[in-house]
Amino acid sequence: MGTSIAAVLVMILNRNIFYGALALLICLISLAGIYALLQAEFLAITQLLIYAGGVLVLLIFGIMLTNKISGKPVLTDSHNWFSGIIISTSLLGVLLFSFQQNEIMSAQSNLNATRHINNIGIELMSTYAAPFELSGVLLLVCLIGAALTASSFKKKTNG
Amino acid sequence: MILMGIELMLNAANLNLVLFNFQKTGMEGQFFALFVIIVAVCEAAVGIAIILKTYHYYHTSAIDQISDLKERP
Repeated sequence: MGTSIAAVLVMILNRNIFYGALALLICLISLAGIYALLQAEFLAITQLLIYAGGVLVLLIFGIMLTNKISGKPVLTDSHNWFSGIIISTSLLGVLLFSFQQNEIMSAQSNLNATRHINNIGIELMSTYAAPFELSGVLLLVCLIGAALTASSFKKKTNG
Repeated sequence: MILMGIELMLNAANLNLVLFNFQKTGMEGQFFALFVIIVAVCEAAVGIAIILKTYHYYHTSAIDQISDLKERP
């Protein structure tokens, strides 16, 4: 958990965008480790595969493609960081308050072994079948949309 | 940079979901987190396509330097 917080701080405070992407990679891998410790192994592997192996590679591709070759790195700056700090600390206060209400940090609760990937597969096809199919449609639509948006059409003129 | 911030926020929500799933019985938190991951992947793909097109047009990828709609004093 400490690695993820440190990686996020590096990502936010760094002005070079490529270092931010690498820090996000470390953060996602550490989040996968946290999920594995919270007995969500399927989600941990899914996070590693999809986020660290898919989204981040796509992001780094985008950063490399939109980089000018003049040798100067792309620098980013944040202008309204003050309101961001106010909003995030208030959210942190709300979450800490709810943790104190519910006695969250008891480490030995719910160590039953009913969270196998078999159950996930069965429930995904029976109870959660509608979001499953809808996410398939969503993925198809986003695939077509992204491919169409990023391509450039050259209009052929007749004659 | 904006896209990386959006990914960060979605991952924070995922972490909250998995944490509360650990405390309660049942597995709804993991399913919700799975669908959040799927939606985040979709919007990241479309966002990167948008950024590529914007770079093609404005020749810069720093959003601060795109100020066509800024009002002139």
